[in-house]
Amino acid sequence: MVSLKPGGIYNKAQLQKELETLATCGMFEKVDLEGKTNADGTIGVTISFTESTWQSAEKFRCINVGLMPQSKPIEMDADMTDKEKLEYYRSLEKDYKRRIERAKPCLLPVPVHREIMQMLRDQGKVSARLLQKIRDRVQKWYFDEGYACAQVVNFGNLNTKEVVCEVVEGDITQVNIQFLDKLGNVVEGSTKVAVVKREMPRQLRPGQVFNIEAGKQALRNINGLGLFSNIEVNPRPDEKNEGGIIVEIKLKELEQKTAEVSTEWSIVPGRGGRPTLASLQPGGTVTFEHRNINGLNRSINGSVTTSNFLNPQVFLVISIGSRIKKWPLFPYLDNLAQDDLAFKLEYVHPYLDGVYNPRNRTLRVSCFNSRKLSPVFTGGPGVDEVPPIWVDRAGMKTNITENFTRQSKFTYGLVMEEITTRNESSHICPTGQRVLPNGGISADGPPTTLSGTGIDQMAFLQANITRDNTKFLNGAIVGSRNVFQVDQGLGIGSKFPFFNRHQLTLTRFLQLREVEEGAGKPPPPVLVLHGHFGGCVGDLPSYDAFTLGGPYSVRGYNMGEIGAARNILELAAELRVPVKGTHVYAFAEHGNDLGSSKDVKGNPTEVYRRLGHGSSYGVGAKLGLVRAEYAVDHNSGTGAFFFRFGERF
Amino acid sequence: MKSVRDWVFTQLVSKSLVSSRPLSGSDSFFNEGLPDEESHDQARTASLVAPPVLPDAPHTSNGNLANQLLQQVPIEDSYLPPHSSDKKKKDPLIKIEDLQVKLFRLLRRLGQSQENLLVAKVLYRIHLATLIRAGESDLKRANLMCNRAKARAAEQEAAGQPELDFSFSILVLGKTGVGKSATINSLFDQMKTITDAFRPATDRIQEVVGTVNGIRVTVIDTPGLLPYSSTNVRRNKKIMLSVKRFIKKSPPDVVLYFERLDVLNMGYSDFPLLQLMTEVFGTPIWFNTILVMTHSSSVLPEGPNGYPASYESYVTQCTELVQHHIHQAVSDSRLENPVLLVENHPQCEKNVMGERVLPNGLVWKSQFLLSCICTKILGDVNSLLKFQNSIELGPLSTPRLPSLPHLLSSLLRHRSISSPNGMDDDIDESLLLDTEEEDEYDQLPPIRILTKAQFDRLTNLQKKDYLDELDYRELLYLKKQLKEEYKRQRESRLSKEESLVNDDNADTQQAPPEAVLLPDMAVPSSFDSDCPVHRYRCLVTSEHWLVRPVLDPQGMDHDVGFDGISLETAAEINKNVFASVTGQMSKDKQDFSIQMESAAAYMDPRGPTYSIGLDAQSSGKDMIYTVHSNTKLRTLKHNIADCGLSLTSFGNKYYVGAKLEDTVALGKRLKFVANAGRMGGPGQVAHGASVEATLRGSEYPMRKDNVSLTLTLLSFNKEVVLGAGLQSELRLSRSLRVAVNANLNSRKMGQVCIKTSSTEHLQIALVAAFTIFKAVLRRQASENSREALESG
Repeated sequence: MVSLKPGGIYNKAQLQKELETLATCGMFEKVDLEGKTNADGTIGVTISFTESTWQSAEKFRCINVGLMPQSKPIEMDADMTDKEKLEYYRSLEKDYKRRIERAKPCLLPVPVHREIMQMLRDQGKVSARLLQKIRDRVQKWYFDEGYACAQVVNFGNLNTKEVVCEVVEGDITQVNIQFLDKLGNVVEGSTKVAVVKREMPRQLRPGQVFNIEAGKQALRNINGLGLFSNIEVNPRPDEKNEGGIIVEIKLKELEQKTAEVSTEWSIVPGRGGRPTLASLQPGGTVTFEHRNINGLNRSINGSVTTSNFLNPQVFLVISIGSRIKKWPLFPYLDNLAQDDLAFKLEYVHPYLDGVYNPRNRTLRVSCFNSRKLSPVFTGGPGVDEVPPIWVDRAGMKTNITENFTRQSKFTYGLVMEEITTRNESSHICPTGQRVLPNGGISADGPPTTLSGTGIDQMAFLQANITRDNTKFLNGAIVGSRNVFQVDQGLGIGSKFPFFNRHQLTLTRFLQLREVEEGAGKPPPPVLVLHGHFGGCVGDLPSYDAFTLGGPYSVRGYNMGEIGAARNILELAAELRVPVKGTHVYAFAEHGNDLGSSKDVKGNPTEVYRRLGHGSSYGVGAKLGLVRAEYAVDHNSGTGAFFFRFGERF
Repeated sequence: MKSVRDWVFTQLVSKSLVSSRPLSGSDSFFNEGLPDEESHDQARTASLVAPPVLPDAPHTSNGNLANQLLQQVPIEDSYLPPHSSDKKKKDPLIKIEDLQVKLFRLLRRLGQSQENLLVAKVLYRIHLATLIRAGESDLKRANLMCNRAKARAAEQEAAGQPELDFSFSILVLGKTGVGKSATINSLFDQMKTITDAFRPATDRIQEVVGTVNGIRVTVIDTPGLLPYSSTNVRRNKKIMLSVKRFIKKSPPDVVLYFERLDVLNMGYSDFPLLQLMTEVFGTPIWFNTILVMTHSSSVLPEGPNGYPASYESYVTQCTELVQHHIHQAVSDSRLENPVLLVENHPQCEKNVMGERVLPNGLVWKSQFLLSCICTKILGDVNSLLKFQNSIELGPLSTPRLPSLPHLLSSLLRHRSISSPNGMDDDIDESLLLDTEEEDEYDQLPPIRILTKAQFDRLTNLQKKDYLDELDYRELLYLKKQLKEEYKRQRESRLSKEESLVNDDNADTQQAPPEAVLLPDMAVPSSFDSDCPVHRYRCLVTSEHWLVRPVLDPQGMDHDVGFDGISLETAAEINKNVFASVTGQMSKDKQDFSIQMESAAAYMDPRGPTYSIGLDAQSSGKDMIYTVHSNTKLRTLKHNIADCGLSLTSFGNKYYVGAKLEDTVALGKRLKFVANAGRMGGPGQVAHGASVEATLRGSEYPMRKDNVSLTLTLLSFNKEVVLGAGLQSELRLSRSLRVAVNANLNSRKMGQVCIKTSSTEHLQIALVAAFTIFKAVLRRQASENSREALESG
């Protein structure tokens, strides 16, 4: 506490000041400063003091005096009579009692309370040193809990068998949201404040005690909006309201609109050997995004990629003989899903029930196409030469997602899509091909579509309900996740498809040992149990059949290597053992078609000689988000190494 | 393309060829680009000409081998009479002649004529093989050899001496119940092994030795393999592995693969078995394999027209099927295995001699022996002429050779790594720090930021002025920020040096940082109800590795399509050493691909920077490795000299390259880079040079406006390609940026790219709407024409 240092040079005023601070800090009853000149001309300073002590206390009380006027220093007329003095003291005491009564209760929990009581009891007399210790203990608890603005300001009611600890906890008086421009000037933002406000955790509302964790949470939530390039959450003492905290949130908004057009021409030797453009029409990409429409975080974005985008090539499919009757479901999207045109358009409308409504529903409308390989038309073990089938999908998906928690959500909507199946050379093919025993290729494989023409259109309802209360415990996932998905055909589309496809996925992450939670503490070993059932009733085109095998089905197999079926059951178990900040695991999995492969039209499982059921086992290690694993496929008894991104479960 | 036969004849004709020259090394044979492929193709033609155990055309290395062989055998020796046994080393040609003699003697014993098609084939192939191996001087002799052998055989057989010393061993493989043991019994005409018509009779591997027609035959009988199913795979594998152990010491001369002719499965079910065999024994087993069809006299199944198919056509059909499966198993359709038909039934038809005959009237046993003998003899010839290792089965790999010009241009373009905190931009830094205009931004008068409503009330001119003012302030602000950044870096460097000097035992162990859950990763949209974001949830860790998925937009249906992993890391090992690794890889059940670059740099505080790096890339099944090193000298303030070396290995070929580069900065805005390099590979060299001039905008480095012109020169194979490129990045207005990239070379090929990006004018995206509109129009047109076609 003494700021004087040996070897320093001080003048009288400084020494006086030092003495004054020591005397007024409240810890000492009496402080003396005595100087003695040594032989070599230096001065030895002795500070003698008497520590303040009070009556021993039996009770301890902690009160929050934030937002209350500080107790005024006692001003006493020197010429008061004893009676007057007594009166005065009594009134003071009364005031103080009222003050205690008015004060809000403290956040300090009972165990810490008890700890301090023990300290008081052990000590007997209340000394300044003890009070300091109590202060440190109380403040430590606040800091450990994240109440960074809490401070012990005073001890009152001494000499009355009760120690009252006055704490300013840091009550939030105001939340101030500011938008900054690139230069850091405060500007009018285009985002509605309510959008930001609803991301703030309850603990950051005015009237609550400021907690740094809540601040971080707010930072993460606001960042999750994706609207700002820079976010700062700062507590600032409230000048008008002593003991109060203003939470300042400074936001730099991202550009609302971006558009990019990139075009490309190639130059080739033309007539007469002169370099000319291969085609006047360029190929390229157009992307655009309009974020935060109306300041309500609605966004629309899209992209179109084509090799020649002023004149996209559209193949003309003519089937002579059998006339294809088409349903005019989406007349504009037909045939757009070609290799040279990829498009995507998405509109997102959050806060469907109003930005002030706590219900959190988001409408999403998207329109896009994709071209992917069908896992149904792949061979079983040892069959390499299955001609691939491309599944082109183009269509529109409209859904509403309701978030219950961060991870648990309910999504429901309508999907309208057109599916075109093509063979290797991009021609529409109505049936899969198979390699005959003599090496020839026959086109009489399983049908690829429901309509039998290679082009299907359908509309169906879709829902997904996820209950996910998994969490990271020292880096290991524990908890459980249940997902139920259903697709309900409406009888709208080619061949009036009516179907119900449902899937139930249950995953349990069982913690095998209790561990203490905290940064740097080891994660527990975890046993993962996983079951997945998929079933389908009604019309089932092959591209929507459930496939078995693959990194998220039965590891150790290629996608679809075990089979494609109407009903499937997958079971998996994995044991994770933490090793050096990550974990290694051993797993066993099984996938079974429940004998339903034959119920898929054309039985692709048998045609491509797959077994319909298969198991695998293996070991692996998790390196960040990367899984490195060795899996043995039990059907052929061979093992292979895999590198995968992300979790299996 | 020439077939081997043609080639042999050209060799015969061209007398000018110097004998010491490796035969197949002659230049006319190979295109510059793809020597390997060429020789593969030759191999293919060769094997099409010649059936079972084919002496294949040599690879380049075998040519050298033949050459050595030639040099070992003095020419005068080769004219010695064949009987001279006083030679220390026997000429392989003489040995071959001995084999031929043996063959002719055996033919006589078996009562087969020498004009037998099979024998003729064998003789032809021995001849061909000898021609390939023999030097020019031996050609004449080789031609004579056959006739001489015939004469000697007749002579020896008449005399009955020397005693014919010929024996071979047979390995028998096949499914259970096809009649492996029964065939052995019929071969020896006695019950050597137990057979059972209904149950698997052979339960272990056994060796049966006997003499047939004076030839000692060893047969290794094996337990039958089980039909394919998931549970049987393991058992079959076990059986095969035990067989493999059994034959390890003395590999069999002939392998017989058994199959029943009458109940041959027309599906695929045998294929996995054949594949397993290939897997266990290796592809070479198929070289010596004869297919044996048992139960050949059974009643034929009905053909598609309801009548029994003709015997010959049925046999051909079955054989082709099995052969096709074998081709698939070894993934090579060049192989052709001989076929034998066998009937072991006791009531089998017999001819007058008491020998069993097939429905087509052939005596199968002698045919059987002959095939075995031929296989054995050809095998011997192969081993004598050292052909075994030169034949490779399997899918034809078409090795893509890295092109030298490409390697060279990547070397020229290669930049050495920059330190993590960007200390490489020394020139920029000095540029900025030198300018002593202290804190222009802070000297600016305060500005009142207008609200939107206020802004809207301004006149157009005022609006423009206001925005320009903001723009100017932004520029100065950026400048200030950059300056502060550089200062901080410099200070941190200095303080680091100090701290390194002062306290080595600084407490570096910090408490592990708190784990923070990352926001969910965005996955590409799909029509599925599933949205597997939970797979990619993770905590932020303090690791320096940056791991990202590689998205394959054309992956599997109902799958997210994250197909590979991209890794990135940069680390400061100590004050002067930096390392960085970036890479991408994917590993699937079968496929593995990787592309990786790593580099480490040592920065000498006095100036030079040394760096060394290793790049790896997979190309098909091969890997391309490049080691490169670089030294950067910064002796003058505005000049950086750079020289680099690189070594690329691909397969067993190596390419060495070197480059020199110099960067000169003229003032703040002009920069010249000139470099020259050379890349040499096996027999080829490419040279290249380039000059680049860059003019930066006046606001550099706050704004990245620049124009650069590049001239490149590349010479390879006496051909010179001159290229020019223009690259520019401009800020047209406050919210519009344009990047132009154009290049053209002297071959009149080139590309023009224009990239426009705007933060205000979304209208430019209407091009997309136009595209879709056009596509729709087209579709309507096509629909109409289709309707017209269908109705008319």
